[in-house]
Amino acid sequence: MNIGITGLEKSFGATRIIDALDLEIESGTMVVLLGPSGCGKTTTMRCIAGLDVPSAGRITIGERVVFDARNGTNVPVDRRRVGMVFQSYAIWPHMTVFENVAFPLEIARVARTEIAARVAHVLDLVGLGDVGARGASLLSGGQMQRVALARSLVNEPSVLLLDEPLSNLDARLRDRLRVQLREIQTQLKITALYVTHDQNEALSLADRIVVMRAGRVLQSGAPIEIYGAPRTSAVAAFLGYSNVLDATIESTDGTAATARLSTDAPIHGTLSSSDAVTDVCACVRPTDVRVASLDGRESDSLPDNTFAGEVILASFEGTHIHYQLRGDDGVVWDALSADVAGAHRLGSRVAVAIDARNVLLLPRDGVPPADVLA
Amino acid sequence: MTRTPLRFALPIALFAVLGALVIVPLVMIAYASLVSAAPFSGDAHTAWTFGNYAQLFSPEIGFAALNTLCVAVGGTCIALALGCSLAWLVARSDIPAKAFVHLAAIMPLFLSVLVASAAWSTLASGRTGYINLALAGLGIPWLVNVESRTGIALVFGLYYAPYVFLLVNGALALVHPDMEEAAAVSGASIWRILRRVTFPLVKPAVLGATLLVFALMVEDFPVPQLLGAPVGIETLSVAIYNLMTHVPAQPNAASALSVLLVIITASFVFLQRRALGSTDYRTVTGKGMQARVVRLGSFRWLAFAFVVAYALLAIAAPTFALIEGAFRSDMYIPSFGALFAPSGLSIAPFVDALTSVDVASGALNSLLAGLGAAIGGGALAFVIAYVVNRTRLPGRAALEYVAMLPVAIPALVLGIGILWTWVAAPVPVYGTLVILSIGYVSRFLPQGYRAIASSIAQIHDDLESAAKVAGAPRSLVIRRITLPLVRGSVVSSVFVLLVLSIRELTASLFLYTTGTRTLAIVIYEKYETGSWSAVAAISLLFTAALALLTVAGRRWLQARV
Repeated sequence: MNIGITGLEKSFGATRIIDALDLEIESGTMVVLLGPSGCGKTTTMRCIAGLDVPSAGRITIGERVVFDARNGTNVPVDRRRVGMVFQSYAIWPHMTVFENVAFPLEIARVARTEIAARVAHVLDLVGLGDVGARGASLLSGGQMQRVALARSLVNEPSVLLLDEPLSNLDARLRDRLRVQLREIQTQLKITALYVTHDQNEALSLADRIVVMRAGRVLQSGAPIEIYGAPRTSAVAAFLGYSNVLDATIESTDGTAATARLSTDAPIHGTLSSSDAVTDVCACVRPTDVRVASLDGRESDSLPDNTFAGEVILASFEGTHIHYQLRGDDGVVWDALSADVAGAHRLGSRVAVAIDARNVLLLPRDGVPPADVLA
Repeated sequence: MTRTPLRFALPIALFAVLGALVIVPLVMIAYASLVSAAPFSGDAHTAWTFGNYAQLFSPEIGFAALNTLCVAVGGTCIALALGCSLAWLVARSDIPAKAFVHLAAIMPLFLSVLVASAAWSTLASGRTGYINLALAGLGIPWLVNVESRTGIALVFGLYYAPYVFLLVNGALALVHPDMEEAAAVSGASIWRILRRVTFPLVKPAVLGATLLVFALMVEDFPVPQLLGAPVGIETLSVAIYNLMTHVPAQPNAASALSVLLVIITASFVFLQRRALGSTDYRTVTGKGMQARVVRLGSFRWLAFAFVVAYALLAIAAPTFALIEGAFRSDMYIPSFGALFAPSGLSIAPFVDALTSVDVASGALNSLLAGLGAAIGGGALAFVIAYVVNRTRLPGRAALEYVAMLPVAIPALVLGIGILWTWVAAPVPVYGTLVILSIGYVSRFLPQGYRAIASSIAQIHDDLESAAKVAGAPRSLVIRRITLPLVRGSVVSSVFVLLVLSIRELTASLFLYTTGTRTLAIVIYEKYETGSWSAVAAISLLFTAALALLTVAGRRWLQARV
């Protein structure tokens, strides 16, 4: 079933958490809300579930209006038939795994024999076929997460809401469960809304990503589309463009443009839109920053988009090396190099080179990158 | 979200109940302090007056205030010294037999101050006090006399020390040992760590405990009444009691003095809240912290001897006095050795005392009134705690405030207020056990509320939200999720309320009638009429029953929860 949100607003006291939000989630798709903590993504989800009451707007699930501020419609949470996985899992410690998963069916007065069959089926689906009788407080984090998922799916909810379900797990388990989660969602063709602040999770899970900040949608689109063409510097920063530098447009030629960094160094890049903005950010992915030896070249005889500098951090991370390079003009570049064999040492002089087509000159929307990465 | 009519119905109902339990009694006292006749006395010439307050400026009341200050300050100092040392020894030192030390520190709570005062008056008053007999036997020419200001302060100190212990020990347990270890690694000595790290971290708790026990001692009635009255030492609470009960009774003057006492205790309780609430130093709470143990070295056994001495004075000696009193047939005790002579002992007085009708009906009354208070109070505390912590109903902050208010009201004042509230009420509860139960609920609501509220607050919201999302309406969420998760603390609160209610004397003094004497009242009356063997025998039974109840409660909890 699709979810429709129009003009959603939510304020706590004087602070506005959600600001005139419009969102359409098509039936059977997984939409990921991506944004930093406090951007309103969890509150949006809680409003859909009915756990928070919006200050204004309208929410529909399928054909059914579950909330409408104008005529006072507010279907209580227990009548909305949604499934939800909480960040804390919210597994009831005084019940067994079976009892936890059976609870929604019990409330719906499903026959006892049918409950047993459906719980067994859904536990199989999440790969927990054999732990039903166990006390829920004895489970590991990954198991709790699966029980929570099973519980949210067991009564065939109209939509599935997932609130950072993987954030409390260790990295390897997270990767595995992420794949499983996507498999189950596509298999059941269930409409799902997923909230996270992790860009990798968002990119790999979503049919559509919605980037949020300060209660508003910055951009939404398919992962590949949004990753390749972020509309503003803030979206770029969320999606792993770790070099976001203030710059001013000097001249343009179609989509090609030349800008000046705040250090006065010229940089050639690509404009994303035909908007006549001059205050932009030069956004570059760390994998697009090439690091080469200076080899005695004079720093003033370097080609375009090449800067002389020094290695101030070199950290070997297995498949690649993570560098931080300080240009002679003081700009610090973040680079990921797959050339593990030809590693540059700390303190060595290097040339930092970036193709002009990999430098996105995007409208500046004022988010310092450090804020985003936190 | 709760539907609209219920949104107001529930808070209004709760305010009505709390109003009858807490607010109206206070209003009654305040009213009585400003008029010329007692409420519902049928006096037609009731007029507004400030005369009751003017009456307080008398030498008697001045002396009473001074006495109160003396015994409360002295008692607080002793309780602090005892409680803090015990707490530190248990939490941070390598003292031997730590389980025993811990037990010794909380055991005095089992002895009600009424029983303890009675026991101490036989241990250390006059030449025939057991301790004085022992001193004489050893040729030491000293007389210990607890029927004095010093004695009252000493008994206060001994029996309020466990409150300090519990608060400070709790705070020490919450201080992450890493913080002390960090100081040790930085090169600080034990004393320096104590002064610069440990003490500052538990300072709010120590300050809070100080203010709390001070307020408790200021309002305490049994200790100064039993130990002070025989020698004419009157504290403010005893003065109120005397104004109410001596002929001619002066209920309006008593009310004015009550208002004064409420202001004193309330301001200390307010300061205590501020001390505990202003700074939250808790860094990590709960599980599995291995506290750093300070090696006491040669002081280890000295510290242990200190604990043994405390246990002897606070528990062993009074228990001995009770046993001695309960089984003594020959009242003439010429020397310390005579205490142990079998010829002077017999089981007869014990049996006589316990088979009297007073005791049987007293025990039954205590149990019934206590059960009523425990179950009613537990249920009320749960509903209030749930509304405050788990709903957005209007007025819930005020609800919590009123539920905690009785902490600041002296039991004596509460007793008088409840008497006046119900004596003329259209429902005939006066003269029945119900009014005693009402009094107990009112007096001990804060204890029940706090325990249940904190355990509700510890349950993650998501656990209840998950049940709502799963389709359960609120009533079902409460029954299936909330209640099972807080069952342990609800049951233990009910037990605590039961024990506290059965021990209660002060408020009961104004609420009982001839047919509804509780065991505590029976003990008090026997003491006032000088039947020491009855006092001792009933006290023994009383203490044993309360200890049994507490142990049974704990066992039950451990088995079930």
